[in-house]
Amino acid sequence: MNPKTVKDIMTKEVVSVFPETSLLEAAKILYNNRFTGMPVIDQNGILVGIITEYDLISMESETLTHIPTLQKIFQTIPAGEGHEKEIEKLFLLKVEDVMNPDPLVLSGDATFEETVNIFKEHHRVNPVPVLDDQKKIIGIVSRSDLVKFFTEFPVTLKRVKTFAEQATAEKTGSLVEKSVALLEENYQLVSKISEIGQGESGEHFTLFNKMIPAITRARNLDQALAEVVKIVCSSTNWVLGEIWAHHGNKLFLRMKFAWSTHDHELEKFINYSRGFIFALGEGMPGRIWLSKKPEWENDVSKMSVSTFLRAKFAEECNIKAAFGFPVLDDRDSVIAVIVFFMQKASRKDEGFVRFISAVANGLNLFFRYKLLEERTVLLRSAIGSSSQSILISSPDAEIIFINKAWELMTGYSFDEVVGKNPSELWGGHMTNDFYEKLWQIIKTEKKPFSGELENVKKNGVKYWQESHITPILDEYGEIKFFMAIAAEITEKKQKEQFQDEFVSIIGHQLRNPLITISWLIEWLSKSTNLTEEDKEKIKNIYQQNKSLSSFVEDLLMLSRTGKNNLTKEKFDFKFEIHMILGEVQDHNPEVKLNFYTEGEDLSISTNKSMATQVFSNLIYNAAEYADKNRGEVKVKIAKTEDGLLFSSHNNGPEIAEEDKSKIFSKLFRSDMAKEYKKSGTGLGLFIVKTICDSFGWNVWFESGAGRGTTFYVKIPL
Amino acid sequence: MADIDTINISPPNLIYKTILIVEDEDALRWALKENLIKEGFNVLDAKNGQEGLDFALKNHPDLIFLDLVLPKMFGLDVLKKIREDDWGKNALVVVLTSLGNGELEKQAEGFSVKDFLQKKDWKLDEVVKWVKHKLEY
Repeated sequence: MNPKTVKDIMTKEVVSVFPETSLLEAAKILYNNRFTGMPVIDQNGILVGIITEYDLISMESETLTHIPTLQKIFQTIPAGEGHEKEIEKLFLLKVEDVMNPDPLVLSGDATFEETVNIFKEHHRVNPVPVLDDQKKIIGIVSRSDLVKFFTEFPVTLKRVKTFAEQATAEKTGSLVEKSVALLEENYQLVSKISEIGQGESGEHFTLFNKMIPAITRARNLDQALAEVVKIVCSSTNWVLGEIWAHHGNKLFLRMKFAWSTHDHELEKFINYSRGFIFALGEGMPGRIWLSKKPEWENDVSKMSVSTFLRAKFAEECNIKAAFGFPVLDDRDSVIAVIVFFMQKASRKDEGFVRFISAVANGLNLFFRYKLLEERTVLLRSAIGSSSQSILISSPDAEIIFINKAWELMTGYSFDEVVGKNPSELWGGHMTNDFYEKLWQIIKTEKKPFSGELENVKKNGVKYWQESHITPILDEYGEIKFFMAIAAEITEKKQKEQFQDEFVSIIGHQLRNPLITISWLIEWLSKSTNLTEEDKEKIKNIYQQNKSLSSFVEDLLMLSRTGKNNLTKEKFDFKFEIHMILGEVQDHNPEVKLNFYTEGEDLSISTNKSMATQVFSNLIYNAAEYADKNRGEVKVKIAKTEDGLLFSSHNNGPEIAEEDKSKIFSKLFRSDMAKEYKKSGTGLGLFIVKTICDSFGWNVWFESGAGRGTTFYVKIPL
Repeated sequence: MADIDTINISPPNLIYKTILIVEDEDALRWALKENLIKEGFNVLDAKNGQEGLDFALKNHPDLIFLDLVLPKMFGLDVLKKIREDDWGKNALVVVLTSLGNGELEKQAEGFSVKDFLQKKDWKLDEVVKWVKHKLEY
């Protein structure tokens, strides 16, 4: 675990003194234990002050410069004249006389950050007592405790690595983000410690401190590793460093980078090494690559050529101690081998081995996530500034990101929505059916969804948005994210609603008188005292009224096509066709109607009234334009591999070649049609085409002399 | 034409079935009423929703023709009130409307209406025939 609070790093066994303790006694304890300071407590264990080396040094007397020195004087030199009074005074001094009665303290729940800061802000303060609520001492923390944490850096990195692995395994964006955050946190922690660590001992620490800016500047892992090698070589006894990596295929290694101090011999050795290609398992780099374990040689120049292939050159160039280690990726395969050389023999320095390999291996991870983070930043700035509203969510609809435009659209800020589900925010105002269908498409079918949703802004105002939601899949075809692009369409929607109402009112106002006229004429025609001529005129008015009625119906139907808000239902296709056929037969009693079906479960799910309009129009047409004497219509629904195929065939005349391209046009009536049927709106097939287009159905026809005409509708399932 | 609202003759072959027509369009109401009376029905008519509701609850007709777009009280509100009544719970109400398919589905959602007749689809004769069939005449 990361140090979260001061408790994680403080020393719990605290040596304290009482205010009455003699100063000399206290000084002795400090010296013998190498303490820099001690808390002072009363009989109840309550903190009353602190006594530090510093307090002793800064005592007013000029002769008392340093307690340890003073102590030496006591031990070795007999009390001299002139010092007597001072010494006497010293003997009488108690801790309470010099202690700082108002020391800086930390509470037990102080965070690691706060702990670091207290040392950063107060350069002379050391150590700092840690107290519980009752002001009792529960521990003490000193600068060295912080530095000690740093030595555990490799362990921390390993933890980050595990976390990153987990993130990769779970393939979730938020975990990856957390890993990045954790890594970042650790990195900052280390930087922070390096700040307060100034002046403290710790060779590795200083080294790492030097590496930080170079690593931060580096653009990729290769570059960062090279920087690390360079820094090690210019700051330590390791004067030459090499990076070995794959050459061509995965079986051979070649030196990719080398750096040394400015030295003729070292440069010569590098040039020799450039000529080497090691097979896996061969030579020091090859062995390390295979074993994945560091190797340390006290003196390679004394080794046999069989174990150190470059032994002769090492001898010639005065190369002695060598240390190599593998750089592993997160799947534990070697990506490089780094070898350092010294110009003198040296025994293994475990601390350095641990330190430098942890740094190198940590770098790999660092860069993986740095890259990821850079991409994220790039992506964020790109989509962040888009005028389109963009939202990214996890596969479970947990919001990961919204851009500025989305904030403006909904009134919610990024921070308010992150980690939440849209249904807790602006969503959840459509029917359950709607959402079920939406999820079916994007999550189960993994296909993009487009639709209009009514949502509620943060201020409670309802609004309409047009959304396009796309599932973003990973290489295994699993959903990684959902990305939604939306635009507010409230205004458009309001216009549409107005238009709907307008059409509905007009429709009603037109229909009513038309129906009334129709019924009145019907009644009138039954009158007994009508002449044949009157009857003919009445019949005429009736026909005109009827065609006006159908025109109004057609217009109303057209005004409804292409609307997204139509209700859908599953219905029995076969049954509906039977119904239509009955109606058509009533109107065209002389035509022979046939109906065939192929396949089971002939049901479709769509807006029923519009769908039946399509089939009704086509069957009516077929019947009305069938052969005048022996009219015959064949209607068929067949189940195909990918949907249903409706066809309506008649034995009528061929559609003229020049009319074929215009047959679905608005208000088009062919000469043949006019000949067959005097009244007609010229909207029938146009409506068929418009509805089919809006449903994603395919409609076409075939017509030939002697073969009649067939209209087809392909309904994809 | 005669004053259409005053015609109220009950033919001798009356079979005591009463029909209420709630319709604001005078000519339409008149045409339907005349034709039903001719068939021997007892016909009441109302020009607006409120009147329709009052007649219905007072006279308990065997069948009610109810338009949807009505003055004073909308057809579906009339229906709601009828359904709240003890007698009205099971009354035979036929919605006679000029609304189109889509609108009708939207409007009638949640109402128990046994039959919807769209005026445009029906000839006057057919309506009368349908009523006779419905009332097992």
